Amino acid sequence: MRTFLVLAAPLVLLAIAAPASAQTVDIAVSPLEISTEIGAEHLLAVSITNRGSEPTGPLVAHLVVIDPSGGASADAEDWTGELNRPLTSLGAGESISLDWDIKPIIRGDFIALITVASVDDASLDPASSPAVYFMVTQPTLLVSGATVPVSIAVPLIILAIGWWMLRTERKRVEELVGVYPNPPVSRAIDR
Amino acid sequence: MNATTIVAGEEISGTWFRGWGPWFAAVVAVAFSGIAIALGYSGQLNLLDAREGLAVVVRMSIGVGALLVVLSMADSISGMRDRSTLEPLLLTPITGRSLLGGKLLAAGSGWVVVFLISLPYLYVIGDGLGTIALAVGLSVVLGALLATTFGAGAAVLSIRSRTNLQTLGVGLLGLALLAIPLLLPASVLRNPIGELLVRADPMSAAQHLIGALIVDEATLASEVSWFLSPVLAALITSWLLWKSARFIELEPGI
Amino acid sequence: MQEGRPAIVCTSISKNYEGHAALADVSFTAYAGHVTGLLGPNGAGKTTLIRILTTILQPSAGTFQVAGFEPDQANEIKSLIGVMPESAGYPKRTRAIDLLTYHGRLYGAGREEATFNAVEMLAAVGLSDRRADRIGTFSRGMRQRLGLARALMNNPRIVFLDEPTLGLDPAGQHSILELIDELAGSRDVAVLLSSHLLAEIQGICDRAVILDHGRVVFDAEPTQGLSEIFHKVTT
Ligand SMILES: Nc1ncnc2c1ncn2[C@@H]1O[C@H](COP(=O)(O)OP(=O)(O)OP(=O)(O)O)[C@@H](O)[C@H]1O
Ligand SMILES: [Mg+2]
Repeated sequence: MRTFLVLAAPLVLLAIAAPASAQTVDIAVSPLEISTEIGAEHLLAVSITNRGSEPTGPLVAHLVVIDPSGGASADAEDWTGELNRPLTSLGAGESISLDWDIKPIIRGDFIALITVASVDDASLDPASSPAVYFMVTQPTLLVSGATVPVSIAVPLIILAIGWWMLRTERKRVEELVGVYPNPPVSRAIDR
Repeated sequence: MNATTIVAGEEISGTWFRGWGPWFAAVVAVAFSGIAIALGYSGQLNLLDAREGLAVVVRMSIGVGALLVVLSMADSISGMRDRSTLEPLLLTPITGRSLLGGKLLAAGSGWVVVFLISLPYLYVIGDGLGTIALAVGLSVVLGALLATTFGAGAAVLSIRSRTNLQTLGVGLLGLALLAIPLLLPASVLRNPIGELLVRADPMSAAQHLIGALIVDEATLASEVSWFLSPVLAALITSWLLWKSARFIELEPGI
Repeated sequence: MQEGRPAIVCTSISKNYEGHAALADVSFTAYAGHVTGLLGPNGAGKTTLIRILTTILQPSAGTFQVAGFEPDQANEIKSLIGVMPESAGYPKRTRAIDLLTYHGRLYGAGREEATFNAVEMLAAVGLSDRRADRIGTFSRGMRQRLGLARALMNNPRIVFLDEPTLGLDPAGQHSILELIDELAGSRDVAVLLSSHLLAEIQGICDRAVILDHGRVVFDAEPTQGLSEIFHKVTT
């Protein structure tokens, strides 16, 4: 009985392992923790490896952003310019490295994942990278105390300048009427 | 004093001392004040919003300035034709080039005034961002390039149009066409045709530059190629104006 | 009548508009110190001829000399001539004196000098008391007077007047014609005066040219049968 178990165990393991062997793609990602500010760009180094003995066929990698608080929805599309990255088939043991640009756009804690699926082979199970934890804070800036005074003063200054211009013009016109004496008609013609 | 400065002086005093200039300037200042107060309402701003706000002021100073220049230059010749005031001017011994040069300078004063008004607002909104010098520089360079481009373009139209209505119609259509790339989604930049379109249009190239340099904090070196179409457009329209202004017809194409 | 220096020499000028001829082979000469009348019914080509001689319209054929300058010396010609166009508009919000001062400066006068000349010219045409008013407030006749003043701002040697008395009351017509007479007589200016009124031309002109359908049909002193030919043309 014991012998049987010892002999059978590898078989059972094999049997259990057999379906799992369909997943042949391994995804590594770094870094796994990012503390950052809104708007800062980060590069995720992603490495995808075919652990199987067959070529994978064409693959597609996809960025997922999860908001575990379930509050504000994290739309991955806003975090990166490239949501999907099509990949060519990886041969047995072959691997490929990708750089993924990510720019968090809202404040909070988020989980980002890279998943890889086969484009046309349903028997190849989708694979997922380890979770990358984003802690995003929002940098703030104190608004200049001069904002309100400036916003009130500038239009007033301009109105004052406009009023001054009007007055200058009015004075000039008064001068035109007053200062030059009317010349006698004959003198004007005989000029 | 040469003819260009005499024309410019007359037009400038017509606009600023005897015209609607000061009241218009006050309205622009009130609009800037509105933006500044709305942005600063809560007393603090996140950095991205502050940068966006700064970009809005820059865009507004360039856009309103260019619009002013377009409107006055569109009126420059065909407007005088409509009011029959062109003939007496053509009869004086000033060249068409001096006349239009003077009018372009005077129209440019509208942009200069809007730019000067924007300065205190750039200062309060950009306080602490460290990008005020960049915003001022972009306002000057892009503002001058776009004002030249649109002013000279409108003047060429004005010289060649039969009526002022025709100038305004064709001019507004042209502006609308140039504004289309502004409405395209950012993703078109990822295909070569889309990028070419956005780069070739001086309006959308300027818009991209403001976004990239002020909001996204890209380096000037990485974006410098985007200045190509605004510079080219200013040169080409100025050259066209130089050629068109040589002989101004009293009644073109009648 | 003794003839002075030729001021305008017009040689075989033609102007075609899309096939139809506004001017056909027009030749005549006008002299300094003389008033030359340019007579003709509506559409005869008077305005077209004046625009060509004042270099703002290109002739289809022919050439001319104005004050001794050829058509391609437009700026030299323009600085020596004064023109009152047929249908000049005026900037409404501009003040009369400012308009004249601006024009004087475009001819190279300094601001002071131009302002002084403007005051004098406004007096000469009887607009002294309205000189600081906006042109938009002027009556049609007052604008006409202002147009004449503007034409004289550069102290021209040749003056082109395209129907200058249009819209003037009899007193206004009289004073403008008197002013024109003075110009030619005491200042040795050549005046080319267009009109479709025979009486106007007969009263003041030393010489008359009648245009009809773009052709010269009379070119002599008004005493030499002007009215017969004019009546033939207009009826
Ligand atoms: N821009 C134009 N295009 C086509 N034809 C024109 C143009 N200007 C004038 N004409 C034609 O040229 C001819 C002469 O016109 P012009 O204005 O010189 O006459 P005019 O003698 O001044 O007449 P009026 O006494 O009515 O002022 C007319 O037949 C007119 O229709
Ligand atoms: Mg006429």
